[in-house]
Amino acid sequence: MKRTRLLFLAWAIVLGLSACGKAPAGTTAASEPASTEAPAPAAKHLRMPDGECQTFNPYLANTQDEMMNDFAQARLYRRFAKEDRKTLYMRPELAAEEPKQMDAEGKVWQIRIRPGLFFTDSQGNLTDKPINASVFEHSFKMALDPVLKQRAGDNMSIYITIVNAKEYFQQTPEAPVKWEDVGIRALDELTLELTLATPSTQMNVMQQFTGYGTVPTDPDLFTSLMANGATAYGTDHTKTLYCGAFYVTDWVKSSAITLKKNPNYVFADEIKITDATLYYVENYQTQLEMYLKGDLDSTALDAEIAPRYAEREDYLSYPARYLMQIEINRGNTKKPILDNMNFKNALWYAVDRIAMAKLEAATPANYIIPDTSLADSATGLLFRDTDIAKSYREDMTASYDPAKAKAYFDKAMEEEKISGKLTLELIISPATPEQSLCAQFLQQHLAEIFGEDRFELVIRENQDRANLMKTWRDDPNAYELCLSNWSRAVTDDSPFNVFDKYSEVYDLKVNAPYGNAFINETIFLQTTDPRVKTDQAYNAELAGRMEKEALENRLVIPMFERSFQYLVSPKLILPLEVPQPSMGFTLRPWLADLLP
Amino acid sequence: MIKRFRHNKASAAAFFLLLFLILMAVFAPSFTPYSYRGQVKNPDGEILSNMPPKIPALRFLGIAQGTAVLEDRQTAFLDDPARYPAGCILEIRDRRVTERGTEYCDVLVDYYRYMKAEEGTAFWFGTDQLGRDIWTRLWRGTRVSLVIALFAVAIDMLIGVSWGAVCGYYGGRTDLIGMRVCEIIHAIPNVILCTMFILLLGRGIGTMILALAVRNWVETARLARAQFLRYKEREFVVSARAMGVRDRRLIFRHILPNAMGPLVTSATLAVPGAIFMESFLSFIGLGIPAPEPSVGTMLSDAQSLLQTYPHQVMLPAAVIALLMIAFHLLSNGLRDAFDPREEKGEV
Repeated sequence: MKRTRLLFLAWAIVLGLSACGKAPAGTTAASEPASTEAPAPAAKHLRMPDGECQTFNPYLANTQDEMMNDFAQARLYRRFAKEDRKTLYMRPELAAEEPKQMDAEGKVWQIRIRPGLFFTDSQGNLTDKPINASVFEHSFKMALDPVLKQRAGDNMSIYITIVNAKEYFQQTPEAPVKWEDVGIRALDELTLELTLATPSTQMNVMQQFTGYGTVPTDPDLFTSLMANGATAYGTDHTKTLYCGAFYVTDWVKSSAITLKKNPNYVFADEIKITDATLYYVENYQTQLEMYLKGDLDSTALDAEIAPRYAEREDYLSYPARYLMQIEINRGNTKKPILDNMNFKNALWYAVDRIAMAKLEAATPANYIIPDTSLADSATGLLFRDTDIAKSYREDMTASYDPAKAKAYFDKAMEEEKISGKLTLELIISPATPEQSLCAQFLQQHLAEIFGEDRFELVIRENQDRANLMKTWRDDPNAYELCLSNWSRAVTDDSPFNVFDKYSEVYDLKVNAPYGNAFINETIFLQTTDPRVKTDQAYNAELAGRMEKEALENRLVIPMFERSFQYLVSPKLILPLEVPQPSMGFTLRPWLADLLP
Repeated sequence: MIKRFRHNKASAAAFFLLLFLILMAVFAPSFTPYSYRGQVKNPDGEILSNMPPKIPALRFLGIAQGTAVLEDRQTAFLDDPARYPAGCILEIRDRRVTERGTEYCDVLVDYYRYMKAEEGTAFWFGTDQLGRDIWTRLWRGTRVSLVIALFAVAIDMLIGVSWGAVCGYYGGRTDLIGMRVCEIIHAIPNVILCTMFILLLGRGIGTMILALAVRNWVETARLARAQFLRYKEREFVVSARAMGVRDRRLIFRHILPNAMGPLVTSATLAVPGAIFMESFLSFIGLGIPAPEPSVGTMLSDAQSLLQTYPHQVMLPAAVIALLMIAFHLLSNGLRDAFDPREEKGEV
């Protein structure tokens, strides 16, 4: 009896389970028609670590927000990977085609926008908000708005010089500039015309509109969220509209951004990832732990621990991105020794770049133009391999000479009549651990070379370091020495542009009184001499001359180029096998594929 | 009193532990040839950063041998002398082949040979990122932390006892005003007050001492006031006053010695609090400036390396823990020793 009950129970369970599962093939259904639809593609969920995203407003965004912008916003032009996964190429994205030159000189250009483009909202719905020429005109007007003073305004004239764009952005009540006088105009629904102050190449025009500061924003939403000289656009994922490969479905601030593939994106067919989550994980160690546990598809590595993983096959080293250098406030009236050439020579020869680079998993640098800067984008010739760059570059081992440094230091002290101890203050950013390490290295190293009884370096952390440095015009004694890690992402195709920072032409970028007449005059050529932007060889030649001048005069003391290291899951197929110049700060995971 | 203190075994042990830590803080930095700020390099000029602990005398125990396991190394490179100097590989473990066909292993190396350190080099507690000897820095840091804490508590006692004595002894309007001042200061959160102080005066040992003392004296003042209120109407004080003894003598010769027990106990308890606060402020970047170490700055510097080089965090953390335990147990013992009721079995 018991046995019968058990058998009955087992039969009932089997029956119940089979009813819950799929019907076996062939038994379906006489009553249901067979499905002809292809099976839905498997979900590919990408999980990436990211910096703390502060805003979705592209005009306020900085490099921390670049990955999110890469995922969710398209531009007029963008570099995509070729099929061989070896190089990038420039491709019209929201633009329908390459820009057209409308005059003989190359000062007037027309960009045709793709027809039928609309923004997508945070639900993935195609809105009735179009993306056309007048939207772009309005977007650039907002980016350059003199009241909003957004970050993008600074970057609107990097590769090309749009008539009155800088003047409009920097205008004062005493010297007002009307938007009508700026060289950006929507001619019709799909044609945007640019009038430039100097001739340009087609490549430079496209390059100008690859940055996330040039993505379109919906005029109605952007202006409706404006109040008191600021806009709330991009402060929430619902207060943003999307035109990129993904749209944001959720944003938990300081935690995670969740994205879904945008079916309305112009190249939606080419996007293989279906979902993505960008996690804000501040600590590299935590990132690494998450990656090793399989919770992330890639992780950035801290300089201190990167060498431990260098032999792994999932290890990836990114080309150098920024230069760590000592900025010298030569205009400091209380410490005139800072303008003493012998003192600057002493600093130059006292820095052990090789030891510092090893500490920071970086490349020693006794130069200013980055290793990745291209002198000829067509042939891939790097600036550092050109004849002019080789002609003045000092051997790295010769740039570190403690005896020479001490001799220069003694001479400088004698010239400045300093008989006691020289105490200088070095300002660093508390948010950058590598600056602290670097500063502590210098503190001991310089004292050992110059003599502990003769020299002392005091380290001071300052949250507002970058702005403090810019105050030298009002307060020449605002600082003495400062560490800066100057990013040169925008200079990959134009070594000339490196020297914007070291000139006094662009007020907004100057953060030290470099005071070099040659560089000031040469930089000015980009607004008067068209060859700077049309002739890459000439561009590199001038860049070389400026670098030679800057190095000979010790405008700054370069120390090392910091590169980035990652571990990337073998399942994640990045668009490029090896990262290339011009990629920006991220690995372009939005173009990646994810193996099951 | 000493007899009562000695009977409390935990407190007596804490006393000797504290004595040991203080002696180490004073003398241990001079046991090694390295300075607290010197960045040690190998003969090739490379900084010996993040070296593991090596204590030759403990070799027989199999600990602190200066070895490290290098994980995920390609076996193809093991014979490359540029990567692995001669004799540095001690053991090859866990050979494995990945899907792509690359063979990996973990390598146990003599890290001192691996980093080409000079023969005979031994860092007992290893080195930090900048190649500085952790032993020297840890004990010097302990000294700095102790000095800061002791001076802060001394200032706190000096101000607190004087303030509390005056308020308690004179009472009335003096007491009313004095205690209101205390309440106002006490209302400001400690961390905010310390942070403001440090931001105003800049970082340094002196500033840290003042920052720690600026608020803590209020507690001492309250305790001292209570003690003076308790004793000022006692017979021996009343009779001394009747004999014409002046206020100053009454305060310092008659009342204060009787009130010392709770005050000493309170001061002993305040020391670990000050050490902890100093460590906390250092940890959040408001500590004493580099290159001077303190236990808190060492913890702060090493926090990002917890998983990679845990000893760099464990060692200063252990010193803080020992200091805190020792001071707490000592203060417990002192409290009991100062309390005569303990001996009589009173509750």
